[in-house]
Amino acid sequence: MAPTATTIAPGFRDPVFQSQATFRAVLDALAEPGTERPVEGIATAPAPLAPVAAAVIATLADFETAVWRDETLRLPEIEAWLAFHTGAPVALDPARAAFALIGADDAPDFTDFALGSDVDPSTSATLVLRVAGFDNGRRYRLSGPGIDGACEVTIAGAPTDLADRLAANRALFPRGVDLILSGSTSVMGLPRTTRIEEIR
Amino acid sequence: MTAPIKRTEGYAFAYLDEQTKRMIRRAILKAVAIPGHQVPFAARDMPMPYGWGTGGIQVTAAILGPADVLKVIDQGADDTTNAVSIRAFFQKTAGVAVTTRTGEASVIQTRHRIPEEPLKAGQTLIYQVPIPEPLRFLEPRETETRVMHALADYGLMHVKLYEDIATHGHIAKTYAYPVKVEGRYLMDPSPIPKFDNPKMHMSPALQLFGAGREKRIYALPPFTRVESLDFEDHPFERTKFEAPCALCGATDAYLDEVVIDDRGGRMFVCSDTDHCETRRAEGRRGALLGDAPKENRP
Repeated sequence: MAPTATTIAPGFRDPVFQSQATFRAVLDALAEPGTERPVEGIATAPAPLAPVAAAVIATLADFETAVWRDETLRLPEIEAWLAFHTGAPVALDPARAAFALIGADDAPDFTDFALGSDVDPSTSATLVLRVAGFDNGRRYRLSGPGIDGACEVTIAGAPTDLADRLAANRALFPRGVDLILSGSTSVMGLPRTTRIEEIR
Repeated sequence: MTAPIKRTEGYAFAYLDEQTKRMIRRAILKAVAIPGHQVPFAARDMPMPYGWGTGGIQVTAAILGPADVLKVIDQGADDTTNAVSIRAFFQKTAGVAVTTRTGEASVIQTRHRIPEEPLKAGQTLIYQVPIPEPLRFLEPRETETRVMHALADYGLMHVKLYEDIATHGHIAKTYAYPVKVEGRYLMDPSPIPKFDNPKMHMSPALQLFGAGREKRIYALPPFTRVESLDFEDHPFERTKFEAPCALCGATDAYLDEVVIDDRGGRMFVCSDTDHCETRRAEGRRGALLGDAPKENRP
């Protein structure tokens, strides 16, 4: 059934400045992994598309970037919202997606996504992983570019094997995916350069 | 600092359309994720010729927001044509606040210098890059240099530096001195003097590089290892100056040589105008200032 205009919820109130602010939060998050950067989510985005994840994808995706979404997001309202506000094609094959909207449950293996090539590792996918938040969760120690020495972070609601997945991803460097963790009010970046270990 | 002004009507904020900004923003994020790797991007025609900093301007336009305070320098100076034009461009199209003070700026666009005042966390330095490929003059084929980067095959550059030593007794490169990023990618730091190279290493600021004609963006996140190439028996050496700045007396700054008469007279002054002016405002006096103390004069 083709969606009608009235079924599509609003996106950014002010696309130019809200997308700029969201981009700077994401840029700072990936430039300084482990830091939490506040993002004003799009509250009107259709559930279960989280407001912060909606803001991130509305900021970065357009007709040039196919977006893969996990099972929970394959609803007509969400398809219509993403199509209307971003114009991004739907990626059915994760390997063809520039961006992916994923959650901890049933998150595909990260190597199912585009990893880039040795000649051009920048063609890899960016995964927007929704998490519950950045307190009361598993603790991780991070190091690598963007971090002065090492830092400790808490992430709630990430895949339980996150550290193993990212260690495998790190081993592919310079290939590999980059993660933007979207919480309820903020984002945290985990680019492929970050070394991560779980603190048990 | 000059406060934000009302931007000129009829332009998109910061000149670029939103789709172009998204494309550049995506390239910047990947550049940050792969420090030192040149990410291709679809550079646009800008209302100024290539060579005037169109790469840096596009990166600045893609990140700039209304709360930013912009500083633009050309060879360290805030008051030369390139710097003045670019600053005016963003005042007109984005209405942002501008400054000449390094410490007040959130975004600094630069042509070929890193300010003397150490950069802080939260600041972003954006370099205008003429030729992003450090191997260009050793291997002109882009298809080859990209494979060399993929294989981390940088022997050719070491041979070039070795030939310098064999011919001149030292590594003769004084600007655009090649660096290795996080032990992986060979990177052209743009034509900054090699004096500035150590400032890139573990800087708390984010450093972004834009090459408009060549359509490449690359980046150094904060706290990233940046090593100037050298040999154990010929370690990297920073340029040293024999005389202090003639205006402010600085001995730790990069100096420009200025011819002052037609009999071979010359003076050396700070290339970083903000640094020099700040020092003079603090009461420091170089030899050629009229009110310089006697012991400073030549």
